[in-house]
Amino acid sequence: MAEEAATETEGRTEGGAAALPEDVLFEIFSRVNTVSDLLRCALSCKPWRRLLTDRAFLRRLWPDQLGHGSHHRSRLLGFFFQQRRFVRRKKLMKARVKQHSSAFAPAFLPTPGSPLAGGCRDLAAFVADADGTFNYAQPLASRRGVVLVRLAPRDCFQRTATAGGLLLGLCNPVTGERHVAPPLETCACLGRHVNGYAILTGDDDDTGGGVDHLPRRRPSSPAFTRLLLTGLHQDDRHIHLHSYSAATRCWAGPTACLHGDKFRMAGAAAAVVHRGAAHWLYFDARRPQDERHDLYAPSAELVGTGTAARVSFTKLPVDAGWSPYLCVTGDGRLSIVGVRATSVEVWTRQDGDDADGDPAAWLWTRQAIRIPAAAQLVPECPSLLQSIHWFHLDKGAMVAVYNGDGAFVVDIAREVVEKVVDCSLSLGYFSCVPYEMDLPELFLLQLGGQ
Amino acid sequence: MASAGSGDEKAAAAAMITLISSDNEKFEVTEATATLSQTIRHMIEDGCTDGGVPLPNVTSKILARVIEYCKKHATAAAGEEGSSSSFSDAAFLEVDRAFLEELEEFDDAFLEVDRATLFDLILAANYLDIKGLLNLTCQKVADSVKGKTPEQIREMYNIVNDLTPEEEAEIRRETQWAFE
Repeated sequence: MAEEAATETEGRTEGGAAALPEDVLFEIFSRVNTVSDLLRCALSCKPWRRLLTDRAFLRRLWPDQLGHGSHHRSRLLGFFFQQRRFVRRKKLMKARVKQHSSAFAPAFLPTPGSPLAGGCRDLAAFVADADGTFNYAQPLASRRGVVLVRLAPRDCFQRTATAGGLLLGLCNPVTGERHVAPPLETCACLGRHVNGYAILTGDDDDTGGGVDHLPRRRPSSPAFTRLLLTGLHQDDRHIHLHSYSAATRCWAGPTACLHGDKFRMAGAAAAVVHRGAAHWLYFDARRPQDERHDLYAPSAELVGTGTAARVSFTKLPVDAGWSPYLCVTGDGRLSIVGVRATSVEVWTRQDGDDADGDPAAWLWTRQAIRIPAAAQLVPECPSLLQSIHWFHLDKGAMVAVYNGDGAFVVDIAREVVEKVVDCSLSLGYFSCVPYEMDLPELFLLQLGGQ
Repeated sequence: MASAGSGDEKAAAAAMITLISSDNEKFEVTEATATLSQTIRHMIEDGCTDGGVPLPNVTSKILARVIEYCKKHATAAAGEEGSSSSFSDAAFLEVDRAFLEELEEFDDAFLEVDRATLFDLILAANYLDIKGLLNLTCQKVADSVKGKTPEQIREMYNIVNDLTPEEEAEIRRETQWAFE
């Protein structure tokens, strides 16, 4: 009896790490700021694992809806941006290789309170990169934690701009995953003619055709699985779709999908991935600018486990004005967001029917969200729209990066605008992508598989 | 007499609080020291500290350490107040900096304890609601797991591995990236 009691007190003082109260563990875990360290903590015993797979606890660690200023903390972790255009000069390149300098590596700017905080660092600080491959990278797109970068091979100065093949790398700064795809050599839409990207992860493979907002039954991987590219082929003037599979490390032959003289891309280069299919937005380039009412959305869906893509084509009778973007709302519906200098307007696809071409299927929600804080940055003038870069985030939010003056998140469902970066990009940049990863979801996917 | 000049100190010295540990040991501390604990501050505000404050969750060994921390940091807080009132005085700033360095050294030395004591300090800091001490001790634990494997974490904190080998293998497969 006495011995039992002694063990009990001992347990509290000696072996009590596992049994510390939740509040105390919160204080400890909230100070462990590396995601992989936290994950390894979760693997050390059941009580810790239980806590780190508890949705409420994870949301407390990475607040999502805790009032002003922290809404996107668990998702928008920061921005990758490249300040200078890559210079393909032999002398420069050699000097960089020698110094192992990362003058061209994308820098990471964390949003305030980001779990990836720790000041402005470059991409190579997040992924193992002994050979400096990611030092010469231009961020192109990012989705669900994976960043797609265009790489410059070390010997690129020996090649010409068009004959070098397109070398792409993918990495996940949270998990440290990195993947360098074999160069896409055989294609005539290389380099600057590639204009659309879609990054797919294990999650998309699982949900393919399923419903996004239902809880998932089995865990899946945050790892990158496929990549889709669209580009204009110079020989037949068609926009082609290329697909790449991480598993086979192979590019599939291109599929012609749109006539490049008839259609021009609108919105973001990064596709909206919805229920396993990638969607882009195009407009009819043959019409005069003020008559470009209709939008066209080519969608690419990967069938089965192969890399063959099925391309479909939808006419969207929505007049979204100057600058339309695709977006998926928080409840999993496809939307078109017309962006203005200091406001956005949203058209949301009505639930539960597939009559895509039917104007009635698109509900004009009369939803206009103003960005009051941006009014002082840009006058309402269409020509200045060029200096604002828009991106869509998962779960119904858009990010606007006002060139040099700050970034805003516009939450469409909640009609909330939140300033996430204040003037910190004022150095200017050559390219910029917002970096988003849902960390609570990552922990649930990775650890909650019971 | 005690109303002006160094009156703060005298007033604080006059107001003593008795803290009683779980093993019934009594500690006399100044109010300034005791009120670093929000829990005790509230008790004082509610006027229920007469006859001592029983702390049934804290042993005398731990309470002694907690008081050591609070005394040091209460002086630091008083020092800060002092220096801000004569902000222009460079000598004061110099003293201030030296004091902060000393405080940092104190904190480092304070954390040189075995793990059981560290956890007891965390529990005490949590119960007594002493922000600085909670931050200090939790940060120590958080820093210590950096780069460690689950085995090392278990060993470090005497955690019993209650995962079955199958469970562990399965999770490891899913989370391979965290081990590279």
